[in-house]
Amino acid sequence: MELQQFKYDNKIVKYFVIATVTFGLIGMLVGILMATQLFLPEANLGLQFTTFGRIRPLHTNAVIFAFVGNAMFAGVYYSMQRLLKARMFSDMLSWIHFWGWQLIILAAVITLPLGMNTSKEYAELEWPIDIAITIIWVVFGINMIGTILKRRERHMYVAIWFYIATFVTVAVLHVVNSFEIPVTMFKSYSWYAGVQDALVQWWYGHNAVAFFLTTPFLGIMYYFLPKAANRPVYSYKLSIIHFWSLIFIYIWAGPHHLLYTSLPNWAQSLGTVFSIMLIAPSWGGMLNGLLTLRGAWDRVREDPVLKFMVVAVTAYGMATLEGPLLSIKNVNAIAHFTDWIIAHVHVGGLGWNGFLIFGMLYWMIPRMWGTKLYSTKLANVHFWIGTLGILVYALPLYTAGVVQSLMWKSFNAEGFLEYPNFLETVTQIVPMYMMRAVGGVLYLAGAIMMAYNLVKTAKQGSFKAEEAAEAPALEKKKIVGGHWHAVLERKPLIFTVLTLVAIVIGGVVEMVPTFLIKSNIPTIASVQPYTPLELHGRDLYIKEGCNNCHTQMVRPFRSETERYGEYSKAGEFVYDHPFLWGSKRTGPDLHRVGGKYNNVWHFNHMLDPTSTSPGSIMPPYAWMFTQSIDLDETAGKIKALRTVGVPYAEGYEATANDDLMKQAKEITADLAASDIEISEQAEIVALIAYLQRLGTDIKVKSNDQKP
Amino acid sequence: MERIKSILKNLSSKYLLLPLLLLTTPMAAQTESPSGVSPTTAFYVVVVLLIIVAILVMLLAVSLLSLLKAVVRTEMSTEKKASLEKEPSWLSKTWDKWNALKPMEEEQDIMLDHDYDGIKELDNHLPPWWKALFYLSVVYAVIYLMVFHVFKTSPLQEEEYEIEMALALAAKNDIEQTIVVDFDESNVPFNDDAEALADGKKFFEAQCGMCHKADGGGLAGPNLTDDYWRHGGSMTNIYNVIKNGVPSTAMIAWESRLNPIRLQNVASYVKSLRGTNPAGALPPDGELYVEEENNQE
Repeated sequence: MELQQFKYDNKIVKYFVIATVTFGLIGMLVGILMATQLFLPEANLGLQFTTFGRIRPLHTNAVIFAFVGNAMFAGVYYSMQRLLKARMFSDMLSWIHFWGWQLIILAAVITLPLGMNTSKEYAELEWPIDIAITIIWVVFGINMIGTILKRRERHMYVAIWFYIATFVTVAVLHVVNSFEIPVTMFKSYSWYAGVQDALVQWWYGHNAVAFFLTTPFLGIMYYFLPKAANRPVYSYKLSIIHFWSLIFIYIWAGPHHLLYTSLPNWAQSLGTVFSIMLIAPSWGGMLNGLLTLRGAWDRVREDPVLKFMVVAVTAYGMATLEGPLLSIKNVNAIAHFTDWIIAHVHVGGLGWNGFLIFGMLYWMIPRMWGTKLYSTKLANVHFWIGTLGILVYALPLYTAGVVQSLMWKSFNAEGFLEYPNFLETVTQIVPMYMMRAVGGVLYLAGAIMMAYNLVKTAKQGSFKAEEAAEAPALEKKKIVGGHWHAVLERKPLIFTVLTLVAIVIGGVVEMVPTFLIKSNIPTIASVQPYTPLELHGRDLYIKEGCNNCHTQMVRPFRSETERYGEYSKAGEFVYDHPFLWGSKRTGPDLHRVGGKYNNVWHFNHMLDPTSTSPGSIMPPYAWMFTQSIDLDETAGKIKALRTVGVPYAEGYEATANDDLMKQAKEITADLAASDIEISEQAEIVALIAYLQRLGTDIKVKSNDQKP
Repeated sequence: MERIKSILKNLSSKYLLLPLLLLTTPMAAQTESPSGVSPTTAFYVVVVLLIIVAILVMLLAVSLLSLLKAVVRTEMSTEKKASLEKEPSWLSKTWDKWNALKPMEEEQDIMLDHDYDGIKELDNHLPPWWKALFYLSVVYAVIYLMVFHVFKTSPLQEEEYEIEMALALAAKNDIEQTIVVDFDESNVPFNDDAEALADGKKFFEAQCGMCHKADGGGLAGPNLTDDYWRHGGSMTNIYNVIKNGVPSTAMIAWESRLNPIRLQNVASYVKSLRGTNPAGALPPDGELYVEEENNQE
């Protein structure tokens, strides 16, 4: 068979690498800015655009989609061409993919600080950007499948399996979770409400971790680790078993984010057991990585690339054991809503994704520039300072999580809450927040060293944009037999379809009954849609990202019902588009805050939280007192919500603003009684209206249940 | 355990803990002063720090050991080296067995003939312990679902909550039988005992301060330091408001959260605030209350 000459496209890889490093540094810097605000609220620079609630989604989007995303594309474009012995399917698609993705990031950087967000974690971007993501993702998919189809390698290597699973699943997750009804150009409401929205969101959120942060990087591990170690992959059988079990089981585990919430018990239990069954498939990946290093451990000591990879794979193993443990109800009861979870995700993020990316870059850059790494010593320093950074970041937060949770739950001998004031449990862990910020600074310092090292490396070499390669074309003949899985590896389209089937089953089994069977969400007659003013207030709650620090989910524990009031019921959330249960209690739960304090208290608290709660780490929201709500948007909001099933009467949008002004006047009149003057249309008035409504729809048993 | 905790408490909060936590900023002093570091927290913090230190020591020991090994090796004769390598340790033998590892020399026999950009694959068996782990997790899953959803022998969250509340109620009833007081809203006396007032103060600052300001000067709730009261300023009036709350206001009933003695302490403390004139107090609110001397004992 004649050898065909072709060229690998290194230029596209180079561009993705530059984007990776740039956004990595920016994303981490935003992280440090946030971390600082948790002990020094003034670090928001007094600006609404840089306040915690707004930049938390900026941080997560920057590190997940900009840093890790670009790194994924760099790794995929580099390894896939070589594993398939083919140039990418279309250069034009490659560049549309690259620039499209960067434009999406740019859009995120602009819209998120402006408060344009959907509130759904890791899916905060508004609907026009969601559409752009879908288009660019499909471009990536066509480019990838096209390359696979014109490959010169008969069988697809395990890395390619993981890339296929990534493409297919992220597409499904993104499209299903982003169903939303537009209100304005940058405002939409989730199609789903309450419990259903929560289930869809965490099916997405959990599997974004699985199929954006895990599977593509397992693929990258399977290429770069054996290459760097110059060792054969340990076990082909293990690759097969852990690939299929991982993608099949992962998709079911989403409900473990919703244990002890209003999600039906059966769905919670599925989340727990599938998380437990996920330990072995995850560890399959770790084992195949670590055992591949058999016979190369002496080199691990010297080679920073291998060092980074070993820690990455180990961190992966730790995080994927911890995750299932956190899914056990008793553990979850302690850890959920605390900083333990923040520590957990950062072991995965900083350790697994970060370190694997660093290892990949240190290996790839010298090769693409035909030179040696500028300074191995500096890379080693990066390794140690990065490792130290992870430890200094995670350990204090583990401590903070456990300490705070135990304080929330502790009762004194007389049967009363030992720490009835939530604030006490916050001031207690502020020192831990400081240490965590130090850990973040260390990690960023290491990343800066890497950026310098890589730039220096590139400068001393010369970049090969087109790398010549040759391979024989695939013969057009039928091949039969071989290992059953090898047969699949020759049929990419069937493989893709099977992957799709494997990842769809879990989602369907959990979602369809939750949507269709009425008994899963018992209706409560007294639960009514929000008034127009409350609706504006709710949208402000979302805009300011209050849900990043406050939950709206009182779990059925004595320690929570004593502190907050009656536990949350599924039927209370039927008009919540989107749901706002939150995932972290930096501040107290707010589901039963309605009527707990008077309007004046809320007014003073939002203007200066320390005036009512000395020592509070909540920032002041001064801008909400000068900015006004836009009454022209009221009708659109009402109509959009009616479309997704909220029972506002036909034509109500015409009179909605009258109701709104009436309710606003009641609040301003109440404030005026305490000599506070404020415009009826000030944002703060709408927010107060919303807060006072929260959790008041159901009659609670007695007065003392509702402090 | 208690002893250790108390020792740690003394040691930790100021001298040992904070400097260790790299807290050199003024914020540290600020956060430490209002509540102090509780013994439980201090305990956990110190445990974590000990673990960190232990890890560091271990790392140091391991690296020293490997250094020592390397030095010894270079000085060893080749035969001796060979004989050393032939005797794998008990640990590495178990490791090999549990993983069903093939000796490195036999690797060629299980090398698959694929070659992906220079990457070869071995056809090793699945590690036996890993397979066992997988099977076990599946068994766990089946049992879990059976227990909760088929046989229903373990309580689901709503029932779990009912059980927890019932237990708490029983315990509370037991305790309430031990707290017997000879007063109620109509005749509760002012308690000027220093310990009682300190207890009331502590509670007031943590809880009531949210609305009435820590010094009682008033925020969202009225000033409690002057002679003007919305619901009367006698000891019994104050006790009554705290115990039963004021309907349709933010003043909730504390009866279910405080025992009668604590209620009395807080009421006594509020009473003791009269005339303290804190800075920035709210203007008078309500009606003038004139103390009747014979109301107090």
